[in-house]
Amino acid sequence: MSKSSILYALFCLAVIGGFVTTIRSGFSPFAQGGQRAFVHTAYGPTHK
Amino acid sequence: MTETAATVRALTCPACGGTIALRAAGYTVSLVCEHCGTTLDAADPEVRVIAAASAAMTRPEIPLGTRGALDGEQWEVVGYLERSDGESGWSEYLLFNPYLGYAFLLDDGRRFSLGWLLDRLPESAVDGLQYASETYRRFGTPYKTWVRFVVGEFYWRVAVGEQVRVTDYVLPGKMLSCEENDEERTWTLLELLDRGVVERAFGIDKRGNAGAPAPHEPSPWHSRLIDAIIIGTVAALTLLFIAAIGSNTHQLAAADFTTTIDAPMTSQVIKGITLTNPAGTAVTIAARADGIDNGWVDVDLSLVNAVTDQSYGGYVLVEHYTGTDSDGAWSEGDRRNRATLSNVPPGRYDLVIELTGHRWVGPGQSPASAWGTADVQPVSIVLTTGGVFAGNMLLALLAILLWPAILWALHLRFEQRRTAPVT
Amino acid sequence: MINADCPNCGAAVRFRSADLPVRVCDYCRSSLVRSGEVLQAMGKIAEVPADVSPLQIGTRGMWTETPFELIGRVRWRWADGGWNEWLMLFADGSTGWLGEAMGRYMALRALDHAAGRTGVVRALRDDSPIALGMDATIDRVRYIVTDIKQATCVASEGELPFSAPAGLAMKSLDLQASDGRCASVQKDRGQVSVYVGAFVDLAGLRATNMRAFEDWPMPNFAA
Repeated sequence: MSKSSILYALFCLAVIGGFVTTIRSGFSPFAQGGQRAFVHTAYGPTHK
Repeated sequence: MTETAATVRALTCPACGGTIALRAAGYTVSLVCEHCGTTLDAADPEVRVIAAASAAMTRPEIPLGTRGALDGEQWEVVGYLERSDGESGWSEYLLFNPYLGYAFLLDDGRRFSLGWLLDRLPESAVDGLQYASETYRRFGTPYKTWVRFVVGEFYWRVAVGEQVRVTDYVLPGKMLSCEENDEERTWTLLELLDRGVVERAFGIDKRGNAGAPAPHEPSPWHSRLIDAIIIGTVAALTLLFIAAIGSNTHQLAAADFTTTIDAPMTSQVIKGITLTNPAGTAVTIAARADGIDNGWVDVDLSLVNAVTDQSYGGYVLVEHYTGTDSDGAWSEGDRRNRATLSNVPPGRYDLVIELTGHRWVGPGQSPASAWGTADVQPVSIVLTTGGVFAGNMLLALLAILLWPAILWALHLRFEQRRTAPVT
Repeated sequence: MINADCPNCGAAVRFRSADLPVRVCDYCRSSLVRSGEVLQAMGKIAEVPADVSPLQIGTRGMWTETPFELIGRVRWRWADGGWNEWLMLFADGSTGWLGEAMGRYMALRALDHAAGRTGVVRALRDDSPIALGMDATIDRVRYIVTDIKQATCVASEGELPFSAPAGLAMKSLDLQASDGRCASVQKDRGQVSVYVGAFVDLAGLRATNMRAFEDWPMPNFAA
């Protein structure tokens, strides 16, 4: 197993560890919280 | 009969008088003098001149007579020739060992390959040529080659200009080369030697790695790519498994409210929401207004900590629109939507909900009359905790796939360079 | 092992085989022909020219599970080179030939029958033209003709089944099958003989007692 493959395996472990942490703490950079500002200008259907 | 003899014999070239060595007496048939280039008939005991020199003499990079060990066996360079296919040229060293016979050392200017004449014929297979249980794919198209330069001794009547038609078949690390002319067809099996092996064995300068890959050169990325795909697949599956078992959600609160379209905002509270996870909780608030049509409801949310008054804001838009046009009836919008709050600290919370319902007036529609009946729409709110953010999973999967994707691109680029036609 | 004295020079002559009629005296190079108990000197045989063949009289090995020893050699010459044919004496008293050319070896045994119905064999016998690439089926194996040579004998040594004087003319065909088997059909003095066998290498023959060269180590397979 080459050095880069071992490093990649460790990297994957880190990613998985990070993922587990977000589950346990309910964290996400994708939570939308207050997005009212965006939508404000675009009420109504966009069809046509 | 048991005394040992030397294999190298000194001869005098009848053309130039120079001293030349005969290293494979009994096998050598043509000997090209290294001083003057004259071809001598070594099959004739008188060693007569066959052909005069036809080109200026150059010295091969590995001098004639050099000994080197390859794979634990000793070899001596006895002959050297240069061949060309009209576009590129390469050299071949004839190696000799009295107990092992002859081998060819092919030099394409960058890499060396060791070649042997085959005694048995390869067989055609569905996808190429089979030899010794391995399948070779044809590389490029058949091409003509001719000898441009020759020096040293050979076991056939070699001559400058002698032509053969070559077809190559490859697999990573090996090549089967078929050479034919009117009289015979021979097969040679070549193995690509690792970089530096020949330079160390025969004492020549180490070569750099610049230049196009050899046709049978294995991709340097291949084994790492396989490792990365295996590791990446295991990691991705682990991720999916963890997501599956960690995605339990709990509903903590639910309530139904109403909102009046085009009336001022109404404020409601759901009290007594307790979050217990000390590390933080993901809170999802879903809003639903199943009766809405051609209107929308702004749902402004605040999750307020009962003790600290710390507030976490969110917003949900539920909407729906319908109409007809030249294509027929259309509808648009989502009557159900949700907002997520991430990493909310533990504690007791109240959820403050501010609802504002609106009608949408399209072009050509008349606004609602001020004296029409009020449009009261139900809005239900559900608060759940836990679950897995799809965004997190996607981010993690992309991170995992990044390295295999890079290796894949590098591997493809190498293979493209390897199989590019020689120009 | 039979011992006798050379009728020409008196040197000791040993015979490993009781059946072979010809022996070249190692010392005076007379061709000694045996008929019954009588040994007759019939002319001189030229010295075999020096070469770097790793084989010598006395080299031993194994082919088709049978041990053999090389007891004789004939050297042939043609327009574009030369080759050796070494006589193999097997443990069961039978003989075969180990052809050595261009660093490659063919181990062959004579066919009992002359394969007279094979087209190529008949063509050789009748002196009809033979082309490279011609098909031949000998003993149920398919071959194609890969080599046609007009050769003359240069020299010989050791024990032989026939007398091989210098200048003896011979026409030789080499044939190859696709799986490493090969055959050789030869015509000399009006007689056609057919030999079948396979390509071999010295490692595969487990050759021992090979010739030693002062500037070459023994190869790994013989170490």
